[in-house]
Amino acid sequence: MMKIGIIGGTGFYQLFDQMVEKTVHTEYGDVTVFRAVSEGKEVYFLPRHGKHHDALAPFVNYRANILALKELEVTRILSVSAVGAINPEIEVGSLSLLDQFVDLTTRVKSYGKYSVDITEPFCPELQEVFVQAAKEINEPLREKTTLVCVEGPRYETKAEIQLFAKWGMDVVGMTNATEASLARELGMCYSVVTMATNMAPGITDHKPSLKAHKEVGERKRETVSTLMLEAIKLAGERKNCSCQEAYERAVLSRT
Amino acid sequence: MKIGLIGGTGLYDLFHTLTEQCIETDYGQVTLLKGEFEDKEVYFLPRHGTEHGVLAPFVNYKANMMALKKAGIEQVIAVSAVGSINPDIPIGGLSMPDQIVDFSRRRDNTYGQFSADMTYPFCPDLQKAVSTAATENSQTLYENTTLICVDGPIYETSSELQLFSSWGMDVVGMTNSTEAALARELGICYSAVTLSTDLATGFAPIPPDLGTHKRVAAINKDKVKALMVKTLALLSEQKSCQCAKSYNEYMILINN
Repeated sequence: MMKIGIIGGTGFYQLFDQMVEKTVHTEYGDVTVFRAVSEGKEVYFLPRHGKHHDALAPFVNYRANILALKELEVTRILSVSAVGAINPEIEVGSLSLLDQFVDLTTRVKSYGKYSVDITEPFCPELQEVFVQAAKEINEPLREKTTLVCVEGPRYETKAEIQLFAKWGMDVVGMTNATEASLARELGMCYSVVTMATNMAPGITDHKPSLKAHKEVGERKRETVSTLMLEAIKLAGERKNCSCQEAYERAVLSRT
Repeated sequence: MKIGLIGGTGLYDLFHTLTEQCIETDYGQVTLLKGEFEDKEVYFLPRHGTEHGVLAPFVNYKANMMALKKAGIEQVIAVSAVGSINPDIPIGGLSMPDQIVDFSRRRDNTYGQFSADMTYPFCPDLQKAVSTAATENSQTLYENTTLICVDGPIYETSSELQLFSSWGMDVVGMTNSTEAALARELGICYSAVTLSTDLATGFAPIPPDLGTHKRVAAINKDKVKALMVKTLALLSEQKSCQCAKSYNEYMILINN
């Protein structure tokens, strides 16, 4: 049975009603995941910030999270994240599909074994899955979105957002660059849909807060769930993507 | 009323007598120097230690800001030496940053409890007091400047400065974004005044060094002091700012 990982962010802590909790032990720490079978696939749901949103973005145990999915033999990861919208075309509550990122974080984002190609950081096949899934459920999905990933946990200053806008960044987040890098190192397919839970600081007068994030997340929870379920249905085994190549080369060179 | 003043040792003699106060924090011990100014208690915090022994990346920012919080201080003004990227700000020029871009990368700049709003990183009430003080003193103060904060201790390359200039940065410093972020997490009002001690153009005839910084700071000491004295006199406990909002919301959240 094909195994799919789902990583959920702020406001998205559950996928199915009936899921079995499971703890995975990794050399970086324990990870809680929830298992279910859907559409003939084994689905592992991983709430990024923990079950009760207790780990802020810089303190999420990214290496343990991604390695746990690897150890569960997950090959493809579909992820959802809350972000701030820098590009004024992106409305609060709307969904975007990431195509590129610029990583300004300084946290550990490698298992330290080798250098991977990340020219195209997201799996093109999973991106296509999200595009199709959005069409199926009639939810607009903005494509070709570039994310700037910042350290957090604080939100950005107005000057920082203006600078990112000048660079052509569309959304600002705190987690996806790290997950994408680690997934690529382990040869796993990874793709993200982001939900704009606020306009980034200085773009409007509404200031960001976890409360606002959660409110928008709550409002769109059904839509995001439906999208994820549709994506799980559409996601098949890997065909032509090269997400696993660097990893397999590295494994071969060690044997 | 208690006010925190972070700066170099040149500000010491604002006060006739200073008493030392040692404050223990989870991050280390901090010595504050307490002086009286009119009806206000002013707590002076020498950022780099009393001998300027601690370089910007090694300052214990979390201990410093927590010590001010523990001393019951709600308003902090910081004086910093910076380099001028904007050619309109001359050496010896005083400016008041309005915005920050943080490019420091290897610092612990969070207490890790919640995500604080930093849209406007400085306290508008404190900024108003500094601005009014400059006007009343007939001092030139460059306002609405954007500071870019780098790790240091190394100074910037010519390319880095040209890049920062193309981004619209006015001054480059090594301390304020860290202090501002920590202050905001503690719900403390924070504002900064910067003294340009070199021209960070990448083409300046004299390259930056600590000696130059200290020399320019010494020459301009009276100017900075005059601005601080007037600002302290103007400060009041009446606040209309939102600096403590993120902190208060978090406190309510954890107490319920």
